[in-house]
Formats: sequence, C-alpha cells, structure tokens
Amino acid sequence: MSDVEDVPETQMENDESGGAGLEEEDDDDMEQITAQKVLEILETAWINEMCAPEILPSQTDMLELMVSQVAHMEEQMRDLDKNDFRAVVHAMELERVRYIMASYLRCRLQKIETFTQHILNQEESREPEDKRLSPEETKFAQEFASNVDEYFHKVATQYMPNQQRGEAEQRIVTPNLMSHVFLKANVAVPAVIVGVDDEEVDMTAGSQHIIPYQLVADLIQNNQAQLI
Amino acid sequence: MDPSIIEFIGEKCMISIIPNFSNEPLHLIYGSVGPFRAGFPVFVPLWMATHLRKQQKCRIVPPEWMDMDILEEIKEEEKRSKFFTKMPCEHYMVVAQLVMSTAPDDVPRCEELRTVIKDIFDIRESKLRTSIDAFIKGEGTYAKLDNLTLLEIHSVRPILPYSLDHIARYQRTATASQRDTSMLSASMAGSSSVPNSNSLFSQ
Repeated sequence: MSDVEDVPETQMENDESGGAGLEEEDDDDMEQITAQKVLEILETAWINEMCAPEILPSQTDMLELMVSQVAHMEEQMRDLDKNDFRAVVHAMELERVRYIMASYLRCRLQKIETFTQHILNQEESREPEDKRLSPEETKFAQEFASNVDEYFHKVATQYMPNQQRGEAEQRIVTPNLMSHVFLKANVAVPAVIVGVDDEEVDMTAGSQHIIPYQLVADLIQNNQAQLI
Repeated sequence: MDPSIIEFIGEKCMISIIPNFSNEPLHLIYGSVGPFRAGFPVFVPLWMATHLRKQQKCRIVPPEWMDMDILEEIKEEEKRSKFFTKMPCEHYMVVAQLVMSTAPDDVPRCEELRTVIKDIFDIRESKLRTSIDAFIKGEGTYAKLDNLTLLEIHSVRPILPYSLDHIARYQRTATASQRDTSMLSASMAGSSSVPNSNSLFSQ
C-alpha cells in the first residue's frame, strides 16, 4: 500500500517538473490556482450563457486551456489502476468539468440555431476583437443558415409567388432582450437603472435581483454581476 | 434550467467527512483536498463525500446547521419575519437532500430534521408565491430577491420571468398599435403593412 501512495500524485501533477520536492510543490500550486481560476471563469460563463437571452462572448481561450488540462490529466490517469480511489475521484471530477464544457457549448449552439440570421448580422457589424462567436461557431452558423435557406427554398419558397417569397425570406428571429433574468451582484454597483422610467437602485455586493436583461447586460459583460 | 443542474451546482459545497482510510492530498482542478487520515475530519466537495459514503469509505459529518434546535429557531424566525431570512447554506435543500438520502445513519434524528427542513422550505415557498402575486399585480419590472437560494429562485422560474415577459410584450404591442392607429388616422392613405410584426417573433 505504502509504495503506491505517493506515486499517483507525482504522476498526476508533477510529471513535468522533475526537480526537488519543494520546487515541485510551488509549481504545483501555481498550476492548481490557474486551473481552478479557469474552471471558475468557465462555470460563471456557463451559468450566464444558460440564463441570458442573447449569445454572450465566447470563452474560446478558457475552453482550450481546460480541454488541454483535461486531456493532460486523462493521459496521466491511464497508467493508474482503474479501481484506485484517486483514479475514481479524478475521473469523476473530469466528468464534471467535461459536462460543464459540453453543456456550455450546447447552450450556445442552441442559441445559434434559434437566432441564426440575427447573430450573423450582428457579428458582421462587430469589430474583429468584439466578435462573440468562435471561428468554429461562425462557420457553423453560416452553414446552418445557408442549409436552412436552401431547404426552405427547395420545399416551399420556390413555389410561392414573388411577393410572399420576399416576406418568407425576411423571417429573422431576434432574442427578447427585455426578458427578465435573475441576477446577483458580484461587487457593489451604484445607480443601476431598473425601470423604464429611469428609476435607480444601488446594488450591494452579493444582493440578488430580478430585472430586464438589457438593463444589466453591460454589468454581466464587465463581470460586475452574474446571472443565476 | 433543469433541477439536476441546481443539484450539480450545489454539489460543489464543501462538507466535512471522517474517512476510514489514509491518503495523500488529492490535487483536483477544483482545488486540493486532503490529506486524508483515518478518523480525522476533512473537508471535501459534496459530490466526493456522497461517492465515498456509497463506497463505505467514510462517515459524513452533518453540517453545523443540521441540528434540531438551530433549525427550529430558523423556522420560527422565518414565520415571524416578513422578509426572507438568511439561510445557513446557499444550497440548504440540496445538501440536506443529498446527505440524508445517502447517509441517513450519519445524521442524528434524521426524520425529524427532514420534516423541519421541509417546513422551512414550504414557509418560504408560500411567502414567495404571495410576494410574486403582489409584485405582478403592482406592475413592477424590478424586484430585490435577497437571501433566496438558487433552488427557490428556480422553483419560480417557470412562472415569474415568463409572466413578466408576457406583460411587457402586451404593453409594447399596446403602445405600438396605439402609435399605428394615430399614424393611420393622420395619413388616411394607410400602407397595408404592419411594421411591428417583429415583436411577435421574438422569444
């Protein structure tokens, strides 16, 4: 038992740094903090994405970091005994992380499928650094839009008189930005406009509110508040 | 959001366990846990605690608030107060449900606790419903929801935001059609197309 005990840890975390024990621990800590931060950011993005009516900026970098971290840990775990307590717990955690990532991407795809044309139009008007979709998502959106158009053309619109055809092609579904969301303030935010008649409220850190999304959209993007 | 997602989020809560094995600390992505020493309490995430408990590898130490006296007090306070009181844990229902279903033997007076926690939840739910009713009748668009837990917020998600959205949509349509009629009467020609059809498609 005792010879197994310290092996997996070295295999899991410290495999790259083969130095002395103390250094290893420092490296390890750094790595843990960043991975943890990445996970926290992803989790927040995931919940925000699920609750927001419109599509939010993509967390491409964070996803890539996390995917490589998960792959890295899986690589290390391959050598472990499947029934080892540590292997089971690590596998469980990886499953949880993977679920968050998959659910996040699924949620975005769902929005892209619903608001395809609207999102594409918006993306076109945005500066390259403000784009909300990842390159893959953009490609998916474009292909999805053209496939849907082609399909509609084949089965319906080509048989329609010209005038109606124009109307059918204009169907653009837009998200309702004034829909109500639940919100939690991360920091104190003074003077948030909360009503149509410019009523203002000071939000204290940690307070929870229900409010139309559009009024707080910028707070969410600045990470001053998060959706719940 | 699905209730299982609420549970998933709640499973991140830390809870104390007493393992019956010893081990080095585990470095999870979420943070390090351990070291595990047989017989000594250690904090782990709830999902890990329930897993280890199912494997008979530990005993779960119920959180401090899972105590008859404290909960009775909370219940009385909740009854007295007009507002929602602060709960001892952000996910008290999830924690209570998971701990009591996986490890009923580790919780003293489990059945009584279950009842009193359910009572607290019921009191809060009915308070929530009453205030929602008043809120919607008062035609507000904004409200403060301090001290409500995620599960409670979720329980009104199908009703509250959607009905508010619908009310807002009717109001918009009403003002839009008002504008239309005034425009129409101003210029008797009246183009046949209705310009506000977009709002009907929005979700």
